[in-house]
Amino acid sequence: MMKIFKERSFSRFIAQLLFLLLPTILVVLFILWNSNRYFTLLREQWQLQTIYFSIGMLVAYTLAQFRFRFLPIASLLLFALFSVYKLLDNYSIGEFDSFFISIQFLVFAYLFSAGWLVGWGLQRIRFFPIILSGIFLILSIFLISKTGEITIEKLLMYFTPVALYAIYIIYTTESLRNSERTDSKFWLQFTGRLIAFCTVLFLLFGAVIYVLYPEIKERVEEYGGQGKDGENQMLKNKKDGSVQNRESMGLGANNKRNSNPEPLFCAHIDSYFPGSEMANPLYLTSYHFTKFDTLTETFERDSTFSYNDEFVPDPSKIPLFFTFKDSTRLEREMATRNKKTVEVEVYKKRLSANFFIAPSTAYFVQPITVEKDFQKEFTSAYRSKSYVSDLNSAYFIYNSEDAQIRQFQQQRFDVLRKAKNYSSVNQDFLNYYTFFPTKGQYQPVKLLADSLSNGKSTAIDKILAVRDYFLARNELNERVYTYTDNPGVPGLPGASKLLYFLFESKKGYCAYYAAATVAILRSMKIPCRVVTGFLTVDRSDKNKGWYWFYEDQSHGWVQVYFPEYGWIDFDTTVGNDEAEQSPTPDGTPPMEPPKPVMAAAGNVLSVDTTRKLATVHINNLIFKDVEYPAINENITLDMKVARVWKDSIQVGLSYLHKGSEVMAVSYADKLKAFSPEPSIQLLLKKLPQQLPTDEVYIKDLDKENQKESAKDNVEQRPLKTYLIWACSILLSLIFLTFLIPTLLYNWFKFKLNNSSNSDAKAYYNYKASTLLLHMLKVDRSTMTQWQFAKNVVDQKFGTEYAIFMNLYLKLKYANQSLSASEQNRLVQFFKPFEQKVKSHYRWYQRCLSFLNLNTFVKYYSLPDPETES
Amino acid sequence: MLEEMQSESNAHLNTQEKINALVQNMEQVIKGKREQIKQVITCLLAKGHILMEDNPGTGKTVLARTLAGSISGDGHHNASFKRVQFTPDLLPMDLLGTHVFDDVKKEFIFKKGPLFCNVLLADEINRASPKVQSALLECMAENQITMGDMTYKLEKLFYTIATQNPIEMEGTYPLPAAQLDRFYMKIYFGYVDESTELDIYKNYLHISSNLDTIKQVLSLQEVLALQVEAEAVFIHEEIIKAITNIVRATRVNEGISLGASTRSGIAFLKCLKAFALVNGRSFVIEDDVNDIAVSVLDHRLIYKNKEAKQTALKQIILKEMDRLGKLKLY
Repeated sequence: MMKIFKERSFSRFIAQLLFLLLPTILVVLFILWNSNRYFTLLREQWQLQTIYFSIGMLVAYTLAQFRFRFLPIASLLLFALFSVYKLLDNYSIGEFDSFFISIQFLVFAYLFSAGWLVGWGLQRIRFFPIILSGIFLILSIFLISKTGEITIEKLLMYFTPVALYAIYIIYTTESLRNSERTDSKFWLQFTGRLIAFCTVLFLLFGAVIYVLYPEIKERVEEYGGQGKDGENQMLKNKKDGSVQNRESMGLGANNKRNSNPEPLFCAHIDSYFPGSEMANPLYLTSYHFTKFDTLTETFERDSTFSYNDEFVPDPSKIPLFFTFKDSTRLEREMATRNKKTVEVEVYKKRLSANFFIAPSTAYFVQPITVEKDFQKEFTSAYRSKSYVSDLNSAYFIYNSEDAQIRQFQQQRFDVLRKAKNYSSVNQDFLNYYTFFPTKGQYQPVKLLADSLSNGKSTAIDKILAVRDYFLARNELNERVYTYTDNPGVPGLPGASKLLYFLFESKKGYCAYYAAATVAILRSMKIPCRVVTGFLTVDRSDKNKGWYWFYEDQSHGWVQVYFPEYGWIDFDTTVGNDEAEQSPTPDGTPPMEPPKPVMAAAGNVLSVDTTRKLATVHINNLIFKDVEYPAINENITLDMKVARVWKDSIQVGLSYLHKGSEVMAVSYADKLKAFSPEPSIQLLLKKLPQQLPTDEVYIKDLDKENQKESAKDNVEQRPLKTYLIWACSILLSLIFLTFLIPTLLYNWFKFKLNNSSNSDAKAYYNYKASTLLLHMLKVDRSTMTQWQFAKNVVDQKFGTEYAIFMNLYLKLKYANQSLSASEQNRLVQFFKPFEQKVKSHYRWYQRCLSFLNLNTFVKYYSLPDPETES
Repeated sequence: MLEEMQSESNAHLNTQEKINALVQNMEQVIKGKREQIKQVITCLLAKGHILMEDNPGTGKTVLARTLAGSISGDGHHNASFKRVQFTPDLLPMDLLGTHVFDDVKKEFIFKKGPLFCNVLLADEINRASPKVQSALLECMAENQITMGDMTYKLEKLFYTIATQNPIEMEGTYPLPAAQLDRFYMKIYFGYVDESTELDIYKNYLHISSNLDTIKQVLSLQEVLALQVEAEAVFIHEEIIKAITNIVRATRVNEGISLGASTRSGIAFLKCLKAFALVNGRSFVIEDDVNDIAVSVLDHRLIYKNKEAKQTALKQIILKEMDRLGKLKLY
């Protein structure tokens, strides 16, 4: 033992402990701390877990120092851990205790073993630091991908320590390995060098980040998909400055609303109370969150389910005035009674062009033009049709104290009380929409649901009980559940956020209320789901049916299914007493933009710029909402008042030329007199020869497609592609690294064949042959090149290497020039030599040898004098 | 083929023949010691002196005698060879000679000591007292003897082959570093390999007779001419730089407490030139540096510990060889 642990080894051991293991422990501490924030299983005990890991590592490290064998010790350890685990299983009392202790022990066992492996690897495997840093980096990537939203701060926070550690540990291991000395001076020097190295590293890293920060930030926001923490959680800001609802909804970060909300869009909802002029506002839905994921504790969108009636077309991808219909949505909705079609026109201000919202259940979308007077205000518009239940109304779900509204609501509740029960509903449908765990930590929800539904027979009464539960006030007339945009982070380790909201904090924003309501209702076996979109507020009485929508109206609420009636909106979110109301816009609701009479799409055949006429071969025509698809006719357009648009820029008539694909739109009163005909031929006969035209949109198809696909790429390129991209670069770099010896060898050969100077040729002969021999592991050890040539190479391969070396040395050191024959010999040397040497190896042996970077590195390092016999 | 190439690269065919003849002649007597023979001749041509360290009976004396026997003296007989066995009671005058009173001439005349010869074998030099050692070494350096008022020149060709026992043996006065510095080289004779040894035993009768019948292949004049020729060997600037680097590196090396002197650098340079000539070249190459660097430098250095003794110098040389090997000189 003394021999192994001699003094040099001892100080080396201490040095490694200080310089290798301590930083490793720190990085592990960091990674564990991070993991604890995202995995409740770990129970926030990162200090303890780091200690487990460190102990494992130190023990393994020390044992490996004393040359204990890996396998027997590791199997002993495994056996011990396993037996303890089994024992725990058998002897602990109570289900909870057992679970708790077993998990605790498992965490300990895994971390200890991981530490064990790391300790052993650091001591015994030469390239272990590289492997280790790789593992840590992968772990960080995994953690980042788990955290949902990716921001620059997060990326930097997660990656910087691990990346710095990776460089540090590789550098330190190598320099420790290469230094033989252990006296006091060494300690001083080594520490100094490390500090200098770390400073340089930090400065470099800092400088790179400092310089590239805006760029990285932009990239990350672009690829990260979701917005930044501390933003409106119901809205997502897109790169072009537009907004839309979020496609995922976690109960997590704070919901910061803009204190000065901006209008996003305005909509004309063509819905009135039957038999009256009174507008009936409807909530506009965007996404349905139907599936509860027990792992993430959130409701998620699920397009795979066959009864999902979510309608999410992309209006920006449908040509103007073309329609997109999907009536299967109506079948999926499973509603038959009291339905009517409601038309909604949405004029977008800051809302994303590709975003679609409509009252549920929508089945129709048609992008429409914005009339020229409104183009400054609105970027794009579409018309949608929805099949809406008579019962749905914003007034129906406002949690208002207003007596009139209360009465109105009561009438509707009465209707719903008469609804059939769920026994006749499709079982798959029911099972899907009532899924919510009732066991384990979710048991309190079930208990709450049971107590609320106690004595209530109909679904609507149960729903009202839940609503009243959230709206309840205590003896001091204070709300029990309150609204807050900052619901806080649960203090209880491992408790789900949902439960935390329900039973502890009792404050949250709409997503919290919606999710909790759905959880309770599902525990009562009432089919329901969370939907997001915009709540509608009737702020004006000037222009009936027109509504402004502001940022703070983005909302999440609940839809409950009633047999025959379908999905009915409910809102259990308590009023936000502190919120500032969105201002009434002075522009009031927009004037109703004129509706186009006719729209025709086709290719220009000829243009007469003097008479301002254009002949167009049309494929499609829409006249007063009647669509004539796939037609093959020529029409003449009267362009006297027409404006020509290209890429939303007004251009001259000259931009129209033969072959241009155009969409012609007419608002002309002249045409309004005509009515649609069953066939296009008949219609065209009736219409005037020269059709008055107001707008012509030139579509450069290729360009548009390109633009769209480019936009698509940017928007939808997820982090994964980014990672794949980075990985492939990394891989090709690694691949290139392995090719360095081969490339260098071929470079020498190239120079050998292409130098004009015979002296240079001799030099590259020399370089190529020494590299070839080195890479084939013909060991020169401490011999000089000439000795090596004479005693090893020529003996082994039967070459004339010694003669070459002789001449080469003469060329190099003598003051006399070589004779022509000697020069010739020098220059001609390599080819036969290479052949002879290569013939001693199989091709794959040669390839493998040339891939060996280890050998290659030694080509540039000094041989070890101790190997000399 | 190789030999042919080597001689082809030599501008002085005549010189080469002479040296080869000398080496071959000596090899007839001293078997399997080609490297040592070459180094002994190198020192001879570099006008230096050589120190051989090894156990008794390895052929040191025979080597010295053979060398002397191969060189013809003043045209008629061998170059003079003297052998002095150094013992603790040896006095300087036993070596240098002494003034004795001539009864006939009634004056003191100088009786020359064994130093007045061409090849001197100073056997077991480390057994003599320091006084004698320094007397010898002074003569080696000055090539003359001063006795009282008189100065006596030594022979023009004066070559000392000193031997010494390994230091560890009893009854020795180790040579101080300053004295060792005066030897151009220190070589280890070593035992011969198995097959050569077997050969020696089989033919031991012939070997002793070989010594008697050794041919004189060179005259003293020719040796002196060779010495002049050795000085004319071309040495590339980079090789000189390599010598400088090596010598200077020994002074700053952590394992070496006393580095090589400038005198040793000069000796190194001279030896390199002579060694190149012995190897049939009119220019010095990097291999020469590698081959004789240890012999030239090792005995001049004082190491701090055994480990350094094993590796320090070799590391320095390796580093320099690496530098030379990577040089592109045209």
